[in-house]
Order: sequence, then C-alpha cells, then structure tokens
Amino acid sequence: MSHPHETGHAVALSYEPGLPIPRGKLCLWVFLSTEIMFFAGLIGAYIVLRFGVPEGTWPTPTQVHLVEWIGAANTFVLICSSVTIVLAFEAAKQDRADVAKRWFVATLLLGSVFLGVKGYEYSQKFAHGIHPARPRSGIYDKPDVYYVSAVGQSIAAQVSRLQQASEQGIAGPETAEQVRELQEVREHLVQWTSFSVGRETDPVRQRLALAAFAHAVYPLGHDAVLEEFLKDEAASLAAPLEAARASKKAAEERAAAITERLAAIDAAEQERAAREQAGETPSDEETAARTAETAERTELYAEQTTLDTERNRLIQEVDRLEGRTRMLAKVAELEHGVAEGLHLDLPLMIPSGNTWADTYFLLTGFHALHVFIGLFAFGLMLPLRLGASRATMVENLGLYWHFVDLVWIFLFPLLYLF
Amino acid sequence: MTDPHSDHAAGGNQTGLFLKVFGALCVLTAISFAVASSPLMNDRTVGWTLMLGVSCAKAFLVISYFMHLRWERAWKYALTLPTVVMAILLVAALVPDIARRTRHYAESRWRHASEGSVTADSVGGSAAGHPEAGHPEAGDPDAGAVAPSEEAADESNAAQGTP
Repeated sequence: MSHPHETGHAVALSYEPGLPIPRGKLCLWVFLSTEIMFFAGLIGAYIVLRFGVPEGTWPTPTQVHLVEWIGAANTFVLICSSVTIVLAFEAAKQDRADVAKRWFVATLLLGSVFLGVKGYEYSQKFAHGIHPARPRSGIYDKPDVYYVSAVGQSIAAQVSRLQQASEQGIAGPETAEQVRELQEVREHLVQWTSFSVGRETDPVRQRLALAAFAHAVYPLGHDAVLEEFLKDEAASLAAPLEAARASKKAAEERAAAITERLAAIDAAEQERAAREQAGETPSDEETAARTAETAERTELYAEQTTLDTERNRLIQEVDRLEGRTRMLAKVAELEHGVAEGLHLDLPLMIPSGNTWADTYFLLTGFHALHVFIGLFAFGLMLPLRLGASRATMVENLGLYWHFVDLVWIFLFPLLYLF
Repeated sequence: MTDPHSDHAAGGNQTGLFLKVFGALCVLTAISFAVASSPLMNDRTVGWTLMLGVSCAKAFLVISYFMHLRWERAWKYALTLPTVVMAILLVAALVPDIARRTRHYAESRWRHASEGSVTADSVGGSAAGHPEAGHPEAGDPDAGAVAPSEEAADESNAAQGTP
C-alpha cells in the first residue's frame, strides 16, 4: 500500500495577488475611480446648473469670449498626446527605450501646448472683465438700477484713481483723455439713465430703458428692439434740443439788450451829473426822466438776475441734450458697446454670467490642475531610461493621462458647444 | 505566474490599431464641432444628445483601447461599474432640486433671478416679466412664425403638400 503523503511531493507555493495586475496599477485604478466620481460631481453640478438657469439666459460663447475652434484645437492636441503616451508605453514594453523617450517627450510638449492655450484663453477672459468671482468679477445678471449704479460707482472709482495718479505725476499722457471719456459716459449714459428711469412711470419703458443702457455698455448681440429704442430716443431729443437752443439764444439776446439799456441809462446819468457839477439846475423834465430811469434800472437789475439763472439752466440743458445726443451717436457707431469700444473696465450685464463663470473656471481649472500634475510627473520621469523594467510606470502614468483626456472629451462639448 | 500583460502584448505591435483609434477620435471631434454649427442645433435637445453621444463614443474608445480595458480581465468591472453608478446617481440626485429649480420659482424669486432678453418680454406685452413667458432664443423655429400672414401660411401648406 502506498502512502501518498510520504512520496515527497512538495507543494509548490507561489504568491498570487488578489487581482492579476501589478499593485501600482491597482492603486492607480482605485485612484482613477475616485477621480471619476470627483469629475462626475463637477460635471454633474455644471449640467444641472446649466439646465436649471432661467430659460434663455445661458451666455453664448461670443458673449463670454469663448472661441469654439480654439477649444476644438485643444481637444485635438490632447487626443494626440494620448496617442503619443500609448505609443511610448508600447515602445517601453518592447524595451525600445529611445523610441519610448521620444514619444514621452512629445506627450510632455503636447500637454504643455494644451496648458499654454488654456492660459491664453484665461487671459482673454480676464482682459474682457470676466473673472471667476467677485469682487474682481463685474458681472451682473440682469439690467436693473443696481447695475446702473454699479457702472456709475466703477467709473467714479476709476476717475478718482486716475486723478490721484496724475496729481502724483505718475499718469501717462493718455490719462486726461481717459478721464474725459469716463466722465462723458458717466454723465450722458449712467446719470441720464438713472434720471430718466426714475422719472419714467411706465414699467415696460422703464425696463426697456435699463435694458437699452446695458445694451449700450455691453451688447449681448444684435437686438433690433433695443437699437430701435435708442434710435427713437436720439430722434426725440432733436426737438427739445432745438427749443433749448432757441430759448438760450433769446435769453442771451435779452441779456445783451439789458446790458445795452443799462449802459445808456448810466451814460445819461453821468451826463446829468456832469452838468449839475457845472452849476446847471436840472429842469423838471430832467428830474422826471431821472426818476423813471432809476426805477427802470432797478427793474432791469432784477430781470438780469433771473435771466442769469435762466440762462445758466438753459446752458446746462443744451449741454445735457447735446452730450446725450453725442453719446447715442457714439453708441450707435460702436459695434461692441462702450465698454469694449472705448476700452473701459466696466461692470457687464450677462444674464447667468456669474453661474457661467463659476462653473467654467471651476471645471477648466480643476482639469488644468490635473494636466499640470501630469506634466509634473512626466518631468520627474524624464531623466529615467524608459525600458521594459519601467513599462508599468509608463503605463500607470499613461492611464492617468488618458483619464485627463477623457475628462476633456466631455468638457469640450459641454463648455464650448452647448 | 502569468505575465500580466500577456493578454494584449501577445498581439505584438499594436501601433496600427492605436492610429486607427486616433483617426476615429479626430473624426468624432470634428462631428461634434460640426453638429454645434449645423441646423441640428435648432432643436437643441437633438444637438445636445448627439454631442453627448459622440462624447460617450470617444470615451469608450479611449477607455477600451488607450487604457487597455478591452484586454483586461473581469476586475475592470469591479472597479469601474460601481463608480459609474455612483457618479450617475450623484448627478441624478441633483436634478429635482437644482436643474428643475426655476419651474417652482415664486414671484419673489423671479424678481432676483437673472433674466433673458427683456425685449422678448416687453414686445409680448407682459410687463411683470416672467422670463419663461418670453422666449428669447433666436434660433427658435417657432419665433419666426408668431404672426404669419395668410399668404405665407398658404405657401407653407402648399410646400408641405397639404391642401
């Protein structure tokens, strides 16, 4: 009888990992699953915010200076970098270290191009006054009196800053021109709107006037109704301006006549005084004329005083109407509104623009951070020989990089094309 | 012990396959870019669905080929499916409260909500300004047909072949 347990067959034990993959790769996949949830949270938040905004208020790409083809080009760059890193992994597996290094460097360069383009896009947003958050961000969600007053306050702050600079002698040669333009906008656009909206009793026209103001500062696109509204206003100013000019002219003429008459009275009085000194006794007629002239002079002085007030008021009225007419002509002429056209840093009215800016910068910012971390890892591995012994390392970094590409695959249409 | 990469490394050089996938990804990107500027966007839901479909296809290509999940064993499901389910549930949980929030806005909330084109409202004649009333989307095909003249209506009927 044989004893199978004594035949000396040693049981061959070998280590079997729980999953048939290297531990590093397992760690990376666990990390990537948490990343999936992280970005799903961000993208999900974007989607629900995007579709939850009041109907028709989400900014179009042009309104927020988003260029679709740049985003598409960046998508292409990232897809290319995904291919190059997968080719680097292939080469590393076959122990062709030089080839692997070449593809690796190509990936690093493509990732840097992506980040550079992203930086350019950000700088374009900042240059146009679109920032992630207040107080830097000057985006208002609706054209209301708060928006008008915010534009006024922004101009006041800028004017005082520029004036301070020129007092300290650190102002450039264009400062005076800038201050003049800012004050022009403040008087004939901001103050005019607050006055006229305050006097307007029809709520529909009130809303139209406020929307037309926002349109003049930063047009969200071609709007026939608002443009018509502004054109109508310019036309309606012509008659009052003509009337004010005529009254001003009449007042000036009357003032000149009064001055002339007063001079004549004074001359007559001087003549009489000279004759009295020469010893002549004034006749009764002369005494009567003198009394009448004295009374007339008192009256003329009184009229002159009221006329002065009236004339000043008319001068201001003509200035106001002329300034507004000038401003409306300028607004009609400037295609991109006062803020863009005159290069003024003013609060912008973009409906749901704050939600847009919050989500855009949050999503692209976190994605760019991931790209940056990937590039940092590429940089760390750059000095190593990327042979077969390091294939797993290249594979793991590649997996991370593909994930970054994957996120952008969803971000591009969601942020640029929706 | 088996080599973990043997499953897919056996095929040898896969560069050709990866380049094919790359080509497909470029074509898909071009498609979503083209959809965005095509008349398909007139009905936004169609355009959005198409673009998200294209994105999912691209994601599938990247995950299965570039990330090698196509050649991995069953562990891939254990790691990816729960997270995907969690991710979808997370977003779905936000929908009733946030994505549909404006459907239950009170008048007092509308007063502080951002509003679309004011002119769309005032032209319609409603001063109170319920942004849902005015449909400012220029691409809305219904917008042009607010008050069609009778001749135009006849013509369009004729064009559609109805008497």
